[in-house]
Amino acid sequence: MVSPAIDNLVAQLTRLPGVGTRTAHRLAFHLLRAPKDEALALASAVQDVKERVRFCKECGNLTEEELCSICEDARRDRTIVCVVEQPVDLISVERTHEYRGLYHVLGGALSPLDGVEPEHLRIDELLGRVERNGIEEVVLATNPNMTGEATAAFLADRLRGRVRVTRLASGLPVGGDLEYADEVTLGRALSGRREI
Amino acid sequence: MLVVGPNGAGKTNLLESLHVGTQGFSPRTRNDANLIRFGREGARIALHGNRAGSLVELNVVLQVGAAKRASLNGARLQAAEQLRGEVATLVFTPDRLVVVKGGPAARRAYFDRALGRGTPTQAALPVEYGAALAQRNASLRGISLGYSTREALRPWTERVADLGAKLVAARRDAIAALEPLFAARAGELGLADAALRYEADSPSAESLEARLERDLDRGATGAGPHLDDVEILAGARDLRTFGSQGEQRLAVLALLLAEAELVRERRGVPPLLLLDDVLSELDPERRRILAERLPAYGQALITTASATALPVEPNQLVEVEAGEAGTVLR
Repeated sequence: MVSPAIDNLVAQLTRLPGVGTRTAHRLAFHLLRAPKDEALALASAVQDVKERVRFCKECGNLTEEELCSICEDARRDRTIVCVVEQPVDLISVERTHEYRGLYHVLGGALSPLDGVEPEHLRIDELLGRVERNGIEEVVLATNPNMTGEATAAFLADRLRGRVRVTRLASGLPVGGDLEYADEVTLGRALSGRREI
Repeated sequence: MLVVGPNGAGKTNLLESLHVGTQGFSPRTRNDANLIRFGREGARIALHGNRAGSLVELNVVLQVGAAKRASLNGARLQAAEQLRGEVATLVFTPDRLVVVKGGPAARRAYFDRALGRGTPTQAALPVEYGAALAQRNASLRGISLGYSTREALRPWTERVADLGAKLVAARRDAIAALEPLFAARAGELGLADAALRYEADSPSAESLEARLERDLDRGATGAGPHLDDVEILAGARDLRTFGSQGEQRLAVLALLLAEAELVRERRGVPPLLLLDDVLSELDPERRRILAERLPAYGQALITTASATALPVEPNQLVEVEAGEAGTVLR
């Protein structure tokens, strides 16, 4: 290659999800051509994020303070906790504006194949919160895939008897056409049909 | 349709390209790069057809180093494998004999694919069960090595039991639907009292818990549908061990015809049948029976080295010669 510095940048970019060697080259050359300010702004944004952002002590969400803005918010319903795998899932639930309770971010899903055991997730913290904080309902919003379902089952076992445990329903996307629904989703929606 | 040509002319190649073009994958290999002519960059299969009176246009493009692309009537599909849900194609190749004479894994794979073709909502079930099983086995090994706990194993035991019970039920249904058709077709081809037998215990969380110590010792789940077998019988004889080569071939053929009927019944459109070198080991009488029955199944392509192998006049005759495009003779 032309310079070890470019090689290094390409190598670092390739580590990002969804970025292959070709995209990494394009990004690297784009940064080279860009004004110095612009390129350094990216570098300092990366640095800022790594230095300032941490996990909320209470729920595991991302925050720049001790507690995240949701845990700090006095208007939130403190009797209900929605359990998600990742902070990005929390953002999705927040976008609905339907949910006014608190969250708990596990940091992943159980997967023995990948070496993810209960102690690697923030499960004890969740049980502690349920124990201490007068929580009445836990909504399990882990992903509806194999590992998410197993994680939900594991949590339900641990929480049963202590608190009301619910799981997100699965069914058809709103505004979509039946025509485009995959068989599994449509099959689940059929078996979970209800009277109107 | 009869496809004739000398050995090595490309008859099987034509059949394989029809399979790729209608299903999105090859029956021979999972490595798509092997489907592209040696030394070339890509391959394309374009098919025009007629399905129950409406025109169908299929396009599959393969490229070295890129994902394959497929379109149906001009609309791009997300994955080439989606074609499977659109067009049904059943294939007979001489390697299919392993379904009868191979180990239980070959039969499980065959009947699991058949249940997916018959009931598309259950096509993913065998894969899901396999994924749950792999997780449970990893958890079992984790317990032996001291970094996992029995409590963490439980959700995987539940998943394996749940999906396993569904898989056993789906297999039972699929085999129960296939069996009478299989017996009838096999009977016509001269294989008397043919039957399929699937005896499996449906797994449950309790039954898996009961054998937990043994599973921990082995580091693997030692019971469940991943170890089941489907027996293919003629009378009391298991054709795997007591069938002649000819009987095994008839059984594979009868299974294919049975599934073709089931597909026609369920989807309302008969599947495309691709029969590679099916005639060579059949006697003239059985060739005649097969030739007489095939038109009832819709379109069928048969490859053969000799145009006289089929005792009846084919509707279409295609001649394939090495290095040249096929010629439609009739």
